[in-house]
Amino acid sequence: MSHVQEFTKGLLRENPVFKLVLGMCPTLAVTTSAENGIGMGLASTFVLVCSNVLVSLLRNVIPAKVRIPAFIVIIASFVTVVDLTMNAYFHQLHKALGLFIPLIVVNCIILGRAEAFASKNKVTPAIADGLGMGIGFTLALFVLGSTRELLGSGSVLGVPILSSLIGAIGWDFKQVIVMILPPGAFIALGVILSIINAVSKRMTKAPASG
Amino acid sequence: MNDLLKMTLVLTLICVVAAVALSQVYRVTKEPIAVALEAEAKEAAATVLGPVLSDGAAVDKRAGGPDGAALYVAVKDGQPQGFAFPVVSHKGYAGDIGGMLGVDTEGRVLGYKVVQHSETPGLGSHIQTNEAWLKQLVFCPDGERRTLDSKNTDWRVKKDGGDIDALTGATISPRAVTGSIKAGLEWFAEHRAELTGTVSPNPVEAQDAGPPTPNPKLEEGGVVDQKLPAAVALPKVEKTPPPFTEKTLTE
Repeated sequence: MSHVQEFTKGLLRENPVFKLVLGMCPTLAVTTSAENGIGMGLASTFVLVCSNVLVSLLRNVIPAKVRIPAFIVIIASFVTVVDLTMNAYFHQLHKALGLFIPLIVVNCIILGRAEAFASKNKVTPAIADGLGMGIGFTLALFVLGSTRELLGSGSVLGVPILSSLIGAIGWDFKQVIVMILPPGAFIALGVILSIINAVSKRMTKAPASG
Repeated sequence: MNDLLKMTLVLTLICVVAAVALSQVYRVTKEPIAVALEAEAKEAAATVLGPVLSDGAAVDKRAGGPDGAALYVAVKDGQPQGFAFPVVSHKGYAGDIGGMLGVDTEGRVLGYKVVQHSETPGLGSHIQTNEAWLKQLVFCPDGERRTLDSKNTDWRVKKDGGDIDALTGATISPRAVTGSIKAGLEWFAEHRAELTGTVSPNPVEAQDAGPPTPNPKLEEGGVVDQKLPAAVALPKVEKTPPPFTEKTLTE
């Protein structure tokens, strides 16, 4: 498989959220707005790429029996680096993501990629895989975050799209508060997953029949 | 046996390298984090002291706030015009609610701002964003500023028989905020005499206003500039306790 394919598989075909359904804890918890989703996604991408590189470099050094604790130490270190750096230089974003950054440690996407891919491949494909999976994760969080923010607050990235649109027609915009509460995360994710499954089913059928 | 040795060695090595790397990152980011928290508290203090700052007073940071926290004093011509200090409620729906309360020398509420909270987005989080609700924490319905005086304000939410409105779908968060403001006003009433009396250009006296907790972290890294750009030249208080947000953020 070429490096390009290693990269693109994470975007859609093996999207960690929509296809592999991994890392549900941060996915459901932080996506109350599009901005939070992007922030969480980018922080995870950084940790994912860094840990993939290091795990790939050390793949012949780390004995198989202690690989999981070694991976966890590597991942946890990068997470702490992200946590401190973000708190220092992106204080507002850090306040919004707060609790969830330490949760990246137990985000199974990262450990999953270290175990399933980086520990068996060279550095370049590991970077491509980490970037692809990370951006795919960010994309998924952005889609989910925008959907919930649009319905729950009437805006996307803080821009009042839906509320001003409905206001323009002359109706009163009512927030669907449940969408930014935890149940809304499950509802939105379920609906998006079913749409994606339906579309991809149709797409795989089409070439076979035609 | 050889295998065991290798495993131990590799894992130990990885941990040592990780520990060294982390300590370096911590060292580099320590100061920017302190500065960010400091700036946040200072900004909140300037906001809640807004009404007395408009006529040329400057904000001066001192020790001696509640629970060893910082105290921000609006000073004009050497006279204190108002005080801002952190008020923290442990009764939030999801964790502590940290706010900044501003009062004038008579103990009237100048302003209140939520600095840190983890209330439910869309419900309890309105304590930070709902302007009308925040306004009624400062003003009585007749336009008077609220005080601790029970004839003026009963510092309980209406559901509990008090004067403060709750928010749609959220009573616990407003109740926590109301309680913390009341506690803050009580703290101020207790210390009002010494605060309004001892605010002098003498840093030694200013320190007597409360037990200052030395903060080696801040001193080591150089105390951040304690004044707003427009501040008048007043001696700095040497030892400053960490802003309360540091505590609430890391716990």
